[in-house]
Amino acid sequence: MEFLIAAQGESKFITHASRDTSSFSSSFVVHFSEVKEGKNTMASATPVGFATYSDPNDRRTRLAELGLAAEMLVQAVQRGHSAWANCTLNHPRLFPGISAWAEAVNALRELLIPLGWNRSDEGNLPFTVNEAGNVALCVSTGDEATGRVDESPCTKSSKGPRTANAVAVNQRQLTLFGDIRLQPEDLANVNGRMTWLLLMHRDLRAREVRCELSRPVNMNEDGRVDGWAERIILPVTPIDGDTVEIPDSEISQTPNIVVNVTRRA
Amino acid sequence: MFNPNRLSLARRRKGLTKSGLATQIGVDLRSVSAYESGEYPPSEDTLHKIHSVLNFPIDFFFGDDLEQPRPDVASFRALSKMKASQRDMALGQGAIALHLNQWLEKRFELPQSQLPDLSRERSPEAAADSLRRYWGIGELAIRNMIHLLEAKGVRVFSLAIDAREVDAFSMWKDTTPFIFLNSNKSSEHSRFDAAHELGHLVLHRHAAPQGREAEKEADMFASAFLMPRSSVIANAPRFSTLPDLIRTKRIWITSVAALNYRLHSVGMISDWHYRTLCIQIAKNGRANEPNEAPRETSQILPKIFAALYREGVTRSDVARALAVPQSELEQLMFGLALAGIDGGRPQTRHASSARLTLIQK
Repeated sequence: MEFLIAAQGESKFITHASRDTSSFSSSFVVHFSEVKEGKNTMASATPVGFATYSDPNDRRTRLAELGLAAEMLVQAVQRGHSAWANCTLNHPRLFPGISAWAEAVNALRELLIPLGWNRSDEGNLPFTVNEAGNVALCVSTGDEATGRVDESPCTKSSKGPRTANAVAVNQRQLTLFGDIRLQPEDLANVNGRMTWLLLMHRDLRAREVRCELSRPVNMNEDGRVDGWAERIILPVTPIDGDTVEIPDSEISQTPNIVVNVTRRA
Repeated sequence: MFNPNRLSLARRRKGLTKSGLATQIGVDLRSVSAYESGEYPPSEDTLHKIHSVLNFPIDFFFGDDLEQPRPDVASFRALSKMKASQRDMALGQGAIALHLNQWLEKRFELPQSQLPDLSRERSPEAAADSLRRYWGIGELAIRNMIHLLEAKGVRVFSLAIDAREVDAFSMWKDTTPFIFLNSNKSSEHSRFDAAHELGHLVLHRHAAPQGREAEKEADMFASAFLMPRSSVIANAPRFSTLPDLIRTKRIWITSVAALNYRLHSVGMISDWHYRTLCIQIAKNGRANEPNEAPRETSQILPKIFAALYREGVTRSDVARALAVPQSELEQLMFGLALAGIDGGRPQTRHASSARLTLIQK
């Protein structure tokens, strides 16, 4: 059961965040209270989503700076969706979501480890970290706004202390560097890293799976991540949605055949 | 006169070796070899034992030579995995089918072959496409493979062999094409086998139909013939998941594995996507086809036997005329339960119509 909690929510004990920061580089230790303050100040000063990249060229450039490409991120999300789609009503109710998430993490690592990235399981939170150690990726389910340029997404579930720390670190970077488009190299000198969330959302009504790679800088009081310094909107995967049977009328088949058999005289 | 070839056929049909038969009828191997080489015939007592072991009527052993499909003429799927005895059992059933077919063709006019020689097409896919155009079925999904084959002049019989290794085989007998399908497979599997054998018949008529290359060609032909490119592209799921494949496969009535392969070969899914689905299909067990379609059966055979029945001829009369066990005929007929035909002698409704006279040898 420990796994289930960790996978979807990490647990909701946000107030314990400050106790669990030892694994992070000391210059970026931020207590949860600061995160909350951060939210308040940010909310008044700036709209959520400082920079959103949806144009394919902008997207490609920004992802390349992080050592990534849209195709691999989308593939990881699609593999997650594929695992989800394979579950039936007989699976435990929590399983399809977990299995999508787990497979997306696995796929992301399978694609990135050959490129020099590393697996880093911190507590129960699975990070995939680049070779230099200054970019970390995490997979999470997002709400309906995921992948939509004009809306601001929020993670679907509350996150635990590890995520809270990562968000806090990201947020501190904002004030330290002042530049939205933070480059991984900028962090090399201060022994820090930025964390990005690969958000995915399965929209059965719109019949598509949307995803984005975004840099979180705020967590709301429920422990859900809802503020972003950057959002890289990724290509949409159209799906067929529900398992609706194909009506016979839509199948073009050969007509019924009558084979003639004639008695010889 | 005792016919050594017929003994050999009946023995192989039952999957027995010469020494196996010798043990069961209580003679030595040398004697069985002698019976089969024509050196000398079995004694009457031994002949009765042969009859009871092989379950073929005594008369069977006194007929003319039967046309027997030879291993080099017939094209087998999965030949490498088959044991020689399994292959011989299948060929033995083939011989009985040829025997039956000859009898039927004397009495009924059946469709002539409309199978062109497509050995010169540039690829199996192109051949499948040409054949679809030649038969005027364009991009339509094939409702019933066996009926289509029968209408185009192929004689289709079932093989009742309880061995997964024996899928199907096909052959040309003069100008008549034959396909034998193992009826113990799923409907989807069997349709693919039928299309695969059709591939051999049109692609390899004048060449050795064996070897890996020929098998691969026949598979590619079957895939393209059952799932024509444009139709697949038009109907493919937006993003194929296993449930999507299960839902979509009923358009073409193929297995999920075959549909996955085809989606990949027409470029609708990527390499990783194909591999992921392969793993998911394997996890569910390839032998268990989800949402299996109803089995296909012959249309010609019930029509013929119904016509014979109206003339007062039952299936057991036919078996007697051919001097083969009735069960042998039934095994060739997809286990079709033909109403009334097995039963007692029917009343002929048209007393005036000429009755068939069956002459036993």
